[in-house]
Amino acid sequence: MSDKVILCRCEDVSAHDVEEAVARGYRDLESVKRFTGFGTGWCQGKQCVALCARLIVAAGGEIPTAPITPRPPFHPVPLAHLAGLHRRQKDEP
Amino acid sequence: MPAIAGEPVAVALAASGRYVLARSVKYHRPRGPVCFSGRCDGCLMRIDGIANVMTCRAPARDGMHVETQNVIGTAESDLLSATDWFFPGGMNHHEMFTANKLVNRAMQQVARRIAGVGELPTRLVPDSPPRDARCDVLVIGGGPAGLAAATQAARGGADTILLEETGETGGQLLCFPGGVVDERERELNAPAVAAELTRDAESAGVRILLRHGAVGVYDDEVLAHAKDHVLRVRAKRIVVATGSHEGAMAFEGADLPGVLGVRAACALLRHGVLPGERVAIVGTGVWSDALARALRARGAEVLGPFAAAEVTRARGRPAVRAIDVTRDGAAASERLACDCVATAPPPSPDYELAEQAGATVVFSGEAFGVSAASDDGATSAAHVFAVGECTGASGLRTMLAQARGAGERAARSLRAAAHATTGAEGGDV
Repeated sequence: MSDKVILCRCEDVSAHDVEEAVARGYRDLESVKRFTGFGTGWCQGKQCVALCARLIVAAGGEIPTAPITPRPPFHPVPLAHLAGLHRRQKDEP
Repeated sequence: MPAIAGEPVAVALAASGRYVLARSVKYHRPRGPVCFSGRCDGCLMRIDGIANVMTCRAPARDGMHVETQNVIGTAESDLLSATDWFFPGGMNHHEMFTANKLVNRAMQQVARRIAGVGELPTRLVPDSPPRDARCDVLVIGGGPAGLAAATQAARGGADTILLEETGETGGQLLCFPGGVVDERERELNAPAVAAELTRDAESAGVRILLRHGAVGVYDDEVLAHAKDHVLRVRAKRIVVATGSHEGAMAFEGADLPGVLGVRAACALLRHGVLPGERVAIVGTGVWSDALARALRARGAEVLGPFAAAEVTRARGRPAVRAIDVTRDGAAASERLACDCVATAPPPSPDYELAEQAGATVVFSGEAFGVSAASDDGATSAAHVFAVGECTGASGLRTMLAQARGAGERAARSLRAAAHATTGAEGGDV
């Protein structure tokens, strides 16, 4: 492995990538997310969003007022179960 | 590979000394489970032809076919990890191979073959009809705060459903290897407190739905995911008690397999699995101390707990074999051999569902959490309460008081609403 400090495990975004983004003028959490891709992988930022926010602030970026937008699903759901939503529902006993 | 039937596949693999389960998407760095609680990417594997199964949540069965994804070779030795060496400074995919259109198109073809997680299933997965439920108060999360809120709401006369994503209620208390002080100032072992809170909820009449993880909050519906269907719940009040998890820490090699959270290490101990023979603990707190005691009691060697700033690097290939520590005042770092590193970063509250329900989420300087009243969990959304660790709260008694306040207030507001309705119609209550 090369010497990288990985912040976002899912998308392999390093501390260097985030610092570079702030240096290029992407100073807020959402912009750095869009530029580097942190928080856009399997876990949707559960592992890295707080760490990236702290690093952005340390690198001279903005203090976030809100997290990256947490869209459903919170946890992965098989498409087959969502595809079933059009079918006749059963009441939970 | 041997496994106890029903224990999670990732736990069975850890028991056999296997932490290297996967490779990362871009650089193909080795990956292993970090959280053992469905909050990371490290345990994804292909099971019986289905891609991207979180093996920390998949119960082991005899004859199961478990495969590594995205590798040429094995998870331990993946040819594609050359990508990591080719790009030591990282990839700037905004400008890479963009000078020439043809080169760009060719590179996209290559990247598409290498990137991504998993392959399509080999068989058709049948869809299943959804289920529906209604209630007065819906509590999301069956940890101590969720149980206390649900109990109080039910005692206040509200028809209450509690959704718990795992197979048992009690949350973090189930794994904490030590004593906690409960509401009556008794020092009890943590699982005993979990059992008592569960019994209270059951006898108050709370409808507890295990293995039902809430995955989304829409206008007036909460969507939950069960083993083979989804459940839609319509509720008049929502109490979010989703807890918190351990996020990542920033030191070189922190993404190596064998580096996991202290709570995850405690969860392994609960399954009777020693996370390592020689475990380094990075970061301090009650979990770090409890883990250190529990590991020593089981005959493991413990290094630390070290302050987070003292640890500069984890080393090993493909899994962790040593850490570099610079002790306070020392000029040089020393390399300490270990086969597991347990980290205790600041807790990351699970704020997502509360935010979807309309509650405000704020940054504390350390992490994001739901902004909620400390006495009754009230949020910026009138029908939504948030209690426990998802609000950044800590300390069992503090959280239980907040949760009981929320349950009570949710039930009271429903009684008041019912009263107002019957009053308007001219009837007596």
